[in-house]
Amino acid sequence: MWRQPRYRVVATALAIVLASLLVTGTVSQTSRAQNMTTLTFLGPDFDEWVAFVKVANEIGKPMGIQLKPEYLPWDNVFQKALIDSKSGVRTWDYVYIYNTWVPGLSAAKAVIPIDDFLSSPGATEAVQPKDFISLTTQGLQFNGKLWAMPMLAAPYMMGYRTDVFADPTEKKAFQAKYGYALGVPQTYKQLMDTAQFFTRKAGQTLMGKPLDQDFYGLVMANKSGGFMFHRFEHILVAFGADLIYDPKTMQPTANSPQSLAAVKYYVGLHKYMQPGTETVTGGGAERVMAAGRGAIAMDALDNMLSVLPVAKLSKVVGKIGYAMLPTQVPSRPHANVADANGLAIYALTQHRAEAFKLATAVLSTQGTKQVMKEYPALIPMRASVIRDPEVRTNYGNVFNAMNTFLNGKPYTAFIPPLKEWVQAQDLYEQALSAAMSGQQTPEDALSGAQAKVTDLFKRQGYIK
Amino acid sequence: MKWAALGSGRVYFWIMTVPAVVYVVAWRLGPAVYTLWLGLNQYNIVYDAAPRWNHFANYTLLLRDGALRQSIGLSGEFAVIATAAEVVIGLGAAWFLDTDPPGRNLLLGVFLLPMIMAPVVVGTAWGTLFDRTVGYIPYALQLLHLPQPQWLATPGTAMFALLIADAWEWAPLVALLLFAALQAIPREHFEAARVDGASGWQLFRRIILPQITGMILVAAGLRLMDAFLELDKVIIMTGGGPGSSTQFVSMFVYKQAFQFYELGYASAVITLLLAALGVAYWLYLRSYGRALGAANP
Repeated sequence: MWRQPRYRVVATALAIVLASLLVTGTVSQTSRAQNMTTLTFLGPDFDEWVAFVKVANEIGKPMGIQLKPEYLPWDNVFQKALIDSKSGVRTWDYVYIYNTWVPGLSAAKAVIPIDDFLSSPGATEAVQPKDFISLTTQGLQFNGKLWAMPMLAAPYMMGYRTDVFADPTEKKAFQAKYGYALGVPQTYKQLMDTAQFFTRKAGQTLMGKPLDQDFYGLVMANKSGGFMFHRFEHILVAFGADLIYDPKTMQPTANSPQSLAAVKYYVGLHKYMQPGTETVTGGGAERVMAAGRGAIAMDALDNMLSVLPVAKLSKVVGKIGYAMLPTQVPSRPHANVADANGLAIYALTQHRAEAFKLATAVLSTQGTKQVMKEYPALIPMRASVIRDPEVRTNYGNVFNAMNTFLNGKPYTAFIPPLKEWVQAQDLYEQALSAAMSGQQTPEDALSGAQAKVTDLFKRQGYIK
Repeated sequence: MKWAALGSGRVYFWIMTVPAVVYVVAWRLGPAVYTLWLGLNQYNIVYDAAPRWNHFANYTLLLRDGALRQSIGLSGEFAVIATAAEVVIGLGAAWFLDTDPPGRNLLLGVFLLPMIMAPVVVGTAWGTLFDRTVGYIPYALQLLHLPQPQWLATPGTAMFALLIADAWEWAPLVALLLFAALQAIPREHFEAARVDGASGWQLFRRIILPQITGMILVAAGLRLMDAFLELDKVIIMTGGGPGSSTQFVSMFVYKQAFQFYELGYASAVITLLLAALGVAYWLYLRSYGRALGAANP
C-alpha cells in the first residue's frame, strides 16, 4: 500500500505540516521568551515559598523577570541541588536552603555566597546586610560568609491556651496539687507539671465542662527523620549538654550526664504528649492543637502561626499565646537552637545578575511586607520589617511573638558545621526513639549512640 | 536461521538489536559495573570532589557494622513471616475462588485491587489507618473497649503493622498465581478421588497440593525476595523506627546513600546484597527443580 504514489504524497504532506507546526510553535515560544528572563526556583512546596514565588513574579514583571518554581518534598531539595550541581546541571537559578544544609552545599560549591555579590556600594545598599536580625540569620552564615538571602526565621517557642491557663477552676486545682500558681512554664519542671496536670481522658472535665475527647498536656511532632531530634535538641541544650559532641575537643558526648538527664526528661514528658506523636511532622501536630485538644504546643513559631490563628483551620483562634521555651540551666536561659530558611543563588545559574537583582528586591523590607500579605505567618528576618508600624498593626501575632523572643534574649545555639552532622544526628535520634518506645533504657540507648558516634568520628579522623 | 543465510538481512538484524543492546548496557550493565567500582572507593558526594580508591575499606567496615547485621536480620524476619502469611491467605483465597462462588469474576477483580496500587499509596493508607489520633483501627478498638497499643510507635506492633500492610497488598498476587494453578488441575482427578471416598482434606493433601507445589514455590520465592527488599511502606509508615526496630536493609542503604551521602559504602552494601541474593536465588532454582521432580515422578 505504501508503495502507491498517492499514499506517499499524502504521508509526505502530513509530515511537512507537522514539522511546520513544531517549528513555528518553537519559534513563537522563543519569541515570547525573548521579552522576559525566566528564572527557576528549586524549593519545598511550603506556603511561604508559594507566596514568595507569587510576589517575585509581581515584582519581577516590570524588571522583565519571571520566576518558575519546581517544588519537591523538603528533604529532597538538598539532594536534588547537590546531585544536579555535581552533574553540571544548569537548570536552576535559586535553591531553597535550610541552615543545617549550609555547610554541605557550600562545601559542594552548589551555591554562591551573597557576599560575592557585594562588590559595589549599590549591591550592599540593595541587600542592607545590617538590617538582618543576627540572632536569626547567623545560621545561614558559614566560614564568615552569608550563603543565602534570609527569608524566614523559625524560632522554637511554646504556644499555650490562654483560656485554659486563665480559668479560675484550673488555677485553683493546679495550686492545690503542685503548691504554686498556674502560669506559662518558666522551667522544664513547671512544663512537666503543667503537661501532667492538663493530660485528661474523655469524660473528665476541663474548665468545668466534660471532655468529649482526650485532651493532651503537650502537643509535639516526633517523627523520625530529623523531626524528633529537631524538637528535642532545644531541651538537650537547655539541660547544659553539647549538641552530640564537644566542638572544642571533637569528643562525642552523647552519653554525658547532661545528655542522659535530657533524654530521661524527654521520655517522662512523652507520657503527656498526644498519641501518635512519633508519626507526625509539625503540620500534623499543629492540627491536633488547632482542634482544641492540647494545652501547650512546642514547635517552630511559623508552624504554629500558619495554623492556630487561621479561622478555617483552627477552633482556637484568639486563644493562643506565645512564650519562650522554658529554662533548665540558669546559664542558658530559654535555650533554643537557631532555625533559619533562605534563598540561595545556584552556583551554575546562567542568570547571575538577574537572580541577585530579583532576590534583593523581593526580600527587601518592602518585598518582605508584600510576602507577608500573602503568607501572614512569615517570621521576617529584617529588623526594619519587625519595627514597621503596618506590620505591628496587621500582624499582631508575629509582632508580639517575635518581640517576646528578641526581648527575652534567649540562649541560642547553632548546629555545628560538621559534614557528618546528619549521620551523628541520626544515630542520636535512633537512640532517643529507642528510649522513648521502651526498646532500650536511656542509659543503654545513649551508650550505644556514644559508641557509634565515636566510631564515626574515628573513621573520619577527628579523634584517635 | 544461520548468520550466513541472512545475507543483506544482517543490516536489519543490527538495526533491530542494537537499541536493545544499548539499553541493556547503558541502563543495566553500566550502572551495575559502576556500583561495583564505587564500592571500592570512598565517595561522599557532598564533600569529596571525586571517588578515592580505599582498598576494600568499605567491605571491612560492613563486616563490622552491627547496624547492617541488625537490618539484614530484620529484613529476613519480615520476609519469612510476610511470605508465609501471604501464601496461607493466598492459598485460602485461591481455593475459595476455585469453588466457583457466585460473582467470582467480580470478587476476583476486587480482591486483586491492592496489588495494582502503588506501594507508597498502600503505606500512606495503612499509616493513616493505624494513626492513634485519626486512624480507624484505634477507633474501632476504642469502641470495643479493647487495649489500644501505639501501633507505629512500639517496636513489636510497628513490625506487625508493616506485616499486615504487606499481606494486604501482596496476598492477592499469590492468590492469582495459585488460582491459575488450581484451575489447571483436571477435574477428573477430583471426581475419581471422590468416587474412591476421599475426604476434603485428603483431596487437598493428595490431589491439589502435589500439583500446585511448583506454583507455591514460585509465588513464595518471588515474595520472599521482594519482601526482603521492602522500602516504600517502611519509609512512609515508620521511617525505620521506633528506634531501629523496622530499619530493614533497604532503609539502611537508603540512609547511607541519600541521607549520609556515603555512596561508596552504600555501593559496597548493595554489592554484598546482590551477591547474597544471587546465591539465594540459585539455591531456590535448584530446590525448585528438585521439588518439581518429586511432585512429578
